[in-house]
Amino acid sequence: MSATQYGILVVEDDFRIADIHRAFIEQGDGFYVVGMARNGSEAKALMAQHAADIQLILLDAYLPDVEGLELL
Amino acid sequence: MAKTVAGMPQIVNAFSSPDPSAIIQPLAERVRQETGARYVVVGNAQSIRYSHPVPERIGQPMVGGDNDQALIYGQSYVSEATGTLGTAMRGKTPVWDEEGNIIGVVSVGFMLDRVDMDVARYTSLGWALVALMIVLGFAGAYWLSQHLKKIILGLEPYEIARLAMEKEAILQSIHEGILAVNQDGHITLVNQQARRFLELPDEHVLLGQPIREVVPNSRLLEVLKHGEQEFDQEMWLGDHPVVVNRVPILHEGEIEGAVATFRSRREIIDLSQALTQASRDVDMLRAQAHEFSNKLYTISGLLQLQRIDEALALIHQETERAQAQMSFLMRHVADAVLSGTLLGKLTRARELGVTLEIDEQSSLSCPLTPTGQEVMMSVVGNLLDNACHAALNGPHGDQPTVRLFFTDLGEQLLIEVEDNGAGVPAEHAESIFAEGFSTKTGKHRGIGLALVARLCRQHGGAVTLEESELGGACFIAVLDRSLCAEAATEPAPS
Repeated sequence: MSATQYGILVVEDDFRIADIHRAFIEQGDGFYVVGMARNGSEAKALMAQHAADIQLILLDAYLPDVEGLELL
Repeated sequence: MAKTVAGMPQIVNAFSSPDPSAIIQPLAERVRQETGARYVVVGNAQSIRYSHPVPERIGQPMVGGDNDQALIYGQSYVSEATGTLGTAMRGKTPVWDEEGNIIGVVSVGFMLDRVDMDVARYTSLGWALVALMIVLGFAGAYWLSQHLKKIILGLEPYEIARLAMEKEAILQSIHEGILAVNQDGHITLVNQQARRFLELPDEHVLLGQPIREVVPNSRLLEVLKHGEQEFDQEMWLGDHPVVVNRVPILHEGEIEGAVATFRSRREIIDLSQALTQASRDVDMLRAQAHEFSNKLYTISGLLQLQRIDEALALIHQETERAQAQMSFLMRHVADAVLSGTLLGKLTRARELGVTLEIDEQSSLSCPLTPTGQEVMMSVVGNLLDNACHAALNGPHGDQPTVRLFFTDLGEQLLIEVEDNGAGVPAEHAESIFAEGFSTKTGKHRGIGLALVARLCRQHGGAVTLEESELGGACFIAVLDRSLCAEAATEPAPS
């Protein structure tokens, strides 16, 4: 395992796709999942909570409460 | 002048005196001096002079030999002849006594060089005047054309004619009614569409009529008074609800009239609803494409992660679900368009995370007419969209649920849509079906339920609101069975 670890926040409402994202990330060297959000409001809460740990956000374009681009 | 001299009573009387020249000579000389003539010669019937500018020649015969026309034939004439004083333009006339006998002749002469000078002088003056008139004419015409151009905004006559024809064609072809008044409030323009709104025949003369008598509620007189524009105001024109714009006609800061344009409010609403429906259809297609792409991504991801069993299970599950949906719709819904709408709504609900349940007792055993398809798409689509929104934003937003039931058993079509949202407060129960009412924010709200209510009324039914067993609202729409294309048939085989 490399010394640098990049934290990723997964924002995806489809649980199967979220699960696949998580599996791929965990297979990668140097990446880990900071949190999993199912909608925009959960994503905002996790971003506020783990701001320092998140280097990347994997964001779905269509979420139940907000569009991905709008959240961005 | 010769005639004047010949007619002078002193001259005529002098002919019968013992020494005519004693009377005639002073008179003739006076006339000659006052008129500027070269000579005034009076002679008797034998052409013997009684007067002459050179007194020594009195008593001698007149020269020139052209007295016969006056003395024999009694004619007056003008001739050019050379006399003792040179070449002159002279006028000759006979002298008549009281009995009508020719007793003498008067010859008045102007030297030709003098005549030529006078003619040249007067000719020059005449030409100068003509030239002046031409210059003034051109200047006047130029000023007039500039003035007219300023009034008609610098346009050429052919441009004005073309503009007038274009304006007339535009006015009569556009879909809006137009009325214009002058500053006195009298109608100056009205197009065909405005006549249709007012339900007035073509032969009814409107031009020049006071607007307050033709359209008392036009408010154009108020616009003339305060000069402010008014847009998208609602009013009734005859029996037509219209949306009207009113603007003053301003020229150099002065109000010179006002124009009102009318659009049918019903047409605007229909257009707005058609656009809303188109937008909804696009949204459904997008949702289906999104879901399809998500499914492929999931299967692809599972295969790459070597989770073959899960991929296969997902494929089977999706196939079964799709087959179950299709099977249900084919067995229970005889109309393909409504089936498609429901499939789209199921996909959209899944995307939104809303559980959309179609009651298993639901059934539409008859295909719909084209109108029936449009009505059902609008009614079902609007009620489901509202229910999904209410469920997502209600107290059970973590488990939003919407239930649909429809049937054509009996004489009518019945559609029930209920949700587990917050329900409709009692104070909104009446106004919720009014156009423009909405609990949502943003533009183009307040159309859906009003449209559902209007469609139900237009097609022999109604829409009512009840409390749902799920905890939220339950809308029940009833439509006449005439929307079915044919009498009830057996449901399509699965």
